[in-house]
Amino acid sequence: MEKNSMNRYLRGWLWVAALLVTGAGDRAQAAMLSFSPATASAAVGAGIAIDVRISGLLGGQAPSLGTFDLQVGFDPVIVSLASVVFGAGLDVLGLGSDRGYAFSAAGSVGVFEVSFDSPGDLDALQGDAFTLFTLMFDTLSEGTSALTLSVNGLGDALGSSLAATVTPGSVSVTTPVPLPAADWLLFASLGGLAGLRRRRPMLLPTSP
Amino acid sequence: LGVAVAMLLLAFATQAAHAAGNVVISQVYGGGGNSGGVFSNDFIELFNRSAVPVSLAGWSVQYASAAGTGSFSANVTALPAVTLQPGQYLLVQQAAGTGTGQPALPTPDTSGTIAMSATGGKVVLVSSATGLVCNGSSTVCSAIQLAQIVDLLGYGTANFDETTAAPALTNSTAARRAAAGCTDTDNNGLDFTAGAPTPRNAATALNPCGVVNQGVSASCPASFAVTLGVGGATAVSATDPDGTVASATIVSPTVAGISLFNVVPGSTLTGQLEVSSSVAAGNYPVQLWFQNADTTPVGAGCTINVNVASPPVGSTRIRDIQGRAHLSPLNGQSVSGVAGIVTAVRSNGFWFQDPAPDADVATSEGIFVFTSATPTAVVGDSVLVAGTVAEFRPGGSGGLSNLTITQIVSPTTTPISSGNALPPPVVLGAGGRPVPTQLIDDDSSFDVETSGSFDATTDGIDFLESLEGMRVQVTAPIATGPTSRFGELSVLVDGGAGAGLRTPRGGIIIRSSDFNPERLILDDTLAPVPRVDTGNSLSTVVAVVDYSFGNFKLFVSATPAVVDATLAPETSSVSGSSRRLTIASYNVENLDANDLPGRFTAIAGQVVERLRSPDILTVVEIQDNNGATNDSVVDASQTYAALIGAIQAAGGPTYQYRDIPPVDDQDGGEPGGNIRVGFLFNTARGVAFVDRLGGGPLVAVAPQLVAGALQLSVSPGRIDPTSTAWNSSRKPLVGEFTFAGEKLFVIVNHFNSKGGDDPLYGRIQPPVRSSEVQRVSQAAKVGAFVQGMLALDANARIVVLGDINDFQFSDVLTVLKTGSGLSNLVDTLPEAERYTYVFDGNAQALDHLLVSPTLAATARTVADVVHINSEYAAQISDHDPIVAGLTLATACLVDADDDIDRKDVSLVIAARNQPASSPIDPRDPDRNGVINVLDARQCTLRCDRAQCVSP
Repeated sequence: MEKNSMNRYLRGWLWVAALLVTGAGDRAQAAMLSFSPATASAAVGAGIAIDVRISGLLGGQAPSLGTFDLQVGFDPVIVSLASVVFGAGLDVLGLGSDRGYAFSAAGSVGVFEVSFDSPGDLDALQGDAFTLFTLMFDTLSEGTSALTLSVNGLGDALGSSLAATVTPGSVSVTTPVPLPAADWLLFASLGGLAGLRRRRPMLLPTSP
Repeated sequence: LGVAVAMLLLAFATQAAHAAGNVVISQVYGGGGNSGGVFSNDFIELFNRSAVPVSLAGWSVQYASAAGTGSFSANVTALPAVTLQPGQYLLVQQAAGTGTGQPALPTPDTSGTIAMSATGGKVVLVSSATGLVCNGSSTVCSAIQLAQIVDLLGYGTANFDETTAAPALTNSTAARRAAAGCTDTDNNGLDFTAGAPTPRNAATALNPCGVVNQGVSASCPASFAVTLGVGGATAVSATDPDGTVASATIVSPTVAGISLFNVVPGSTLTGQLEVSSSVAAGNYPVQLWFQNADTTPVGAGCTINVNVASPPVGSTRIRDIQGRAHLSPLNGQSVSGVAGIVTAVRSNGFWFQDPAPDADVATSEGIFVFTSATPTAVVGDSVLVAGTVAEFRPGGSGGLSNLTITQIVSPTTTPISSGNALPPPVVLGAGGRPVPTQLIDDDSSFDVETSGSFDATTDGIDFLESLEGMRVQVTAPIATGPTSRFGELSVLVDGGAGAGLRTPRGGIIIRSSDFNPERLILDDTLAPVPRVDTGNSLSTVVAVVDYSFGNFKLFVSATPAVVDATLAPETSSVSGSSRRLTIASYNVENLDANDLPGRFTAIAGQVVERLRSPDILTVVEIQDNNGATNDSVVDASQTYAALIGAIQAAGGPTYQYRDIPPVDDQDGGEPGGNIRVGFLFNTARGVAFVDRLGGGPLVAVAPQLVAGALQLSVSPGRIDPTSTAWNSSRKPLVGEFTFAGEKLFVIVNHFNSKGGDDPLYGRIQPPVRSSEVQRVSQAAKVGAFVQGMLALDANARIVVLGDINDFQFSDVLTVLKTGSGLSNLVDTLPEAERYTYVFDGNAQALDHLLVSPTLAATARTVADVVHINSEYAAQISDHDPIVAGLTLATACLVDADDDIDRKDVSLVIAARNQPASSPIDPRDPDRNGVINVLDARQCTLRCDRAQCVSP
């Protein structure tokens, strides 16, 4: 990890650091949380999917990710969150996890997942980088919305705090090129195909 | 010598003679007026051979033929009322013959017309003018008749004589007593010779016989009246001025119950004629015979006319004696002619009951008659009783606090008739008198005998008092406790219908306002009471109501049949787990190493099979190695070793133990036993004891904070052991344990017993609970200690348990809980299951298990009293153990069930990013004060099953 990015993290999220279990830092890897794409663009009225990914894990060994609880911020004038589609990284056997999202305010949504998989299974099967979840936005009006990410909780397979650097992103909404109304349906079906690529699409979030 | 008649035909040896004096027949001549006769008339000559004058008033001479069948009564000559002086003769002229020219007799003193045989005959001198209807042979003379014969002469072929007959006579010879009449050896053949008649009369010169042996004189009342059923005795005596009266006998026909006793021989013999209470009404002439100890014994007799008659029936009825109160209105007064029928009999008295009761149920119709000795009355007798009304206060556990029994003492009992039907019993319960179900007494101010009202229908103590001494019927009894070793059994009537709060197993629960007057205690004084357990039922039985040892007792008249006798012992419902500890308290009732191995085996079997081997087993009433042997031994290691070994042998764990031996003889209980409490714990289940050295019998343990953690100064340790609160009582033992990563403090107790309290059915109402004072101070001590721990760590996990010797609603438990915040798990049981002990059929909780607030809030406490002893006649201890399950590791146990699964994880997630409610919030397993998804993930690692699935 880059030192100055860690410093930025600490400066920005001191309250999160306060939650870190003593010693967790020793085992903290160069985990990174980011949006993909980091900067996205879409026309007003079109949908857009943006992944939130973790990277920098070791893959095949500890630490693996056991849980996350991330707060995503966006400009609710420009975009609205239609749904969240979870990845499979915390449910490596497809047996289920406890996950969901909830709005804490307009433009702020908490997204969490707690794995029920054993540390051994997570360490062995999880991989070093993967999509935690995909944010499905509707575009509302022209402009650029910053995408922020803050960590309510990020834990390894043992439930110990895992440090990570966070990279914000953005989405730009532009004046739309007139399109047939059926394009939205096409978008929706593409989203569904994207989900099918994953081992087990879980389109229905659980609410806390 | 006195006159005696040898009665060879009779069982008794010598008889005859009445009164003193020794007047004898001195000459008899039967040839008067016969051919060759020397006088014209027959004659009988009498002679006073004694040294004292003898009156002949009312006497007679009588004659019977030598061997004929005629009686003496056919030939009687009354004698004149003259007194013969010593040596004086009396000539009694008899019939003249047909001859002529024979000389007349000298002037006779009196004359008769008896024609006597010239050769053989029988002459008697009788102390009566009445003819004896007997002849001594073909018609035997009775004892009474013999007693009237003063002297007898049989001559010739006579078949009735003194030893042998005098010689046969002729017309010219008379039977002449030797020495001119002085000789008397009670043998006619020796004393008489045949010779020429020499008739002598009162005018003849006196012929003193010199010193003459004196006879016996008797003294008896002419009549003696006694009361039927009572009997009595009267004095009798007899004197021999120059000898000893050796014996007294009743010679009249035997009458059962009339006898002589206290007979003291002497110059004056004294004795008493006793007429027993069993002699039936009627007249009984009793003839006595006294006999001296002379070489040839002589005697004297007397007759007492005994009259046995019934006393009059009195106006006092039993109900008048019993009254509408605990004490008789006639207490101390004499009563007589009290009528009733005997309903039951015991070794020192009997109960009898008026067969015609009045309408007032408040006055008992039955009463006990104290005879001291075994009474002669039998059940079914109709009797009249006289005596003194008394209030007998039995001893026993209640002592002076016992009620009294109204009795008739110093009784005289007159049986009128027997075999009567008994008064029907009062039916208790349905169809009769309803048994009060709540109040024992609610109106007395200290002494129920002198204060308050008598409420025979509502107050149990007055209800039973109103039945004292009566026959009652207990219909379909069901036991509320086991038969005690004293043969007592508490039951409810009508199978328990209408009774108060019943236990699921048939007992009855005490409540603060209800000590269950519907309990009736059957007793085995008159007939055995079956040995049964709580909830067993018996056949309907009749009893009489008595009182002793602080309770009314119903003495069953016959043993009831056992209708149902099933009561299965319970098994603990409390389970442990990796997070959950099981802890129990068991009062093992004076267990010591000298107890029989079977006792250890039995207790061990209970621990393993019934208690399911609690992780921590606190024991109460462990004694030292030699138990009640009163020496200086206080160590109990052998007792523990025996118990632990037995549990192991029964398939249980190998417990470790901790205790602190008391100072010798300072902690009460059985003398020499050095009773104490202790800990057994199972390390195989992860229980560890934290030993902190320095404890001892007189060392007070204290809580302290070390590095922010609560611990004990010594472990095990005793709470303030030198406080007077623990005088002659067990000191509580505190131990520090760990389990599942959590610390647990356990305080095991054995407070002082309830001994000395007034009984429920005692004289003092409401009963004074004197023993409670010390227990309250003990509770305050333990409560303060717990408070001290909680002041240092409000979340301390503390268990206070043991034999508190008081009820969950008592002041003692209130004091223990107040301030300390302890919760009594007994209070969490259904009310009908709050019992560890059964006293006089009352199910009650003496053993308790209390937990500190944190345990109460988080430990998912479950308590179970395992009923294996208190309800059983064959009990291994008198207490039932109490078991609790405490979940000490509570992290991630969020929902109500005891496993960790997705539901718990979900609840942690739901609370994410919130502060924990407390340092032991189960949703905050990392205990950092904030609940977040890291806690949730940690909880997934604590799930009971893979993937945190639910069962």
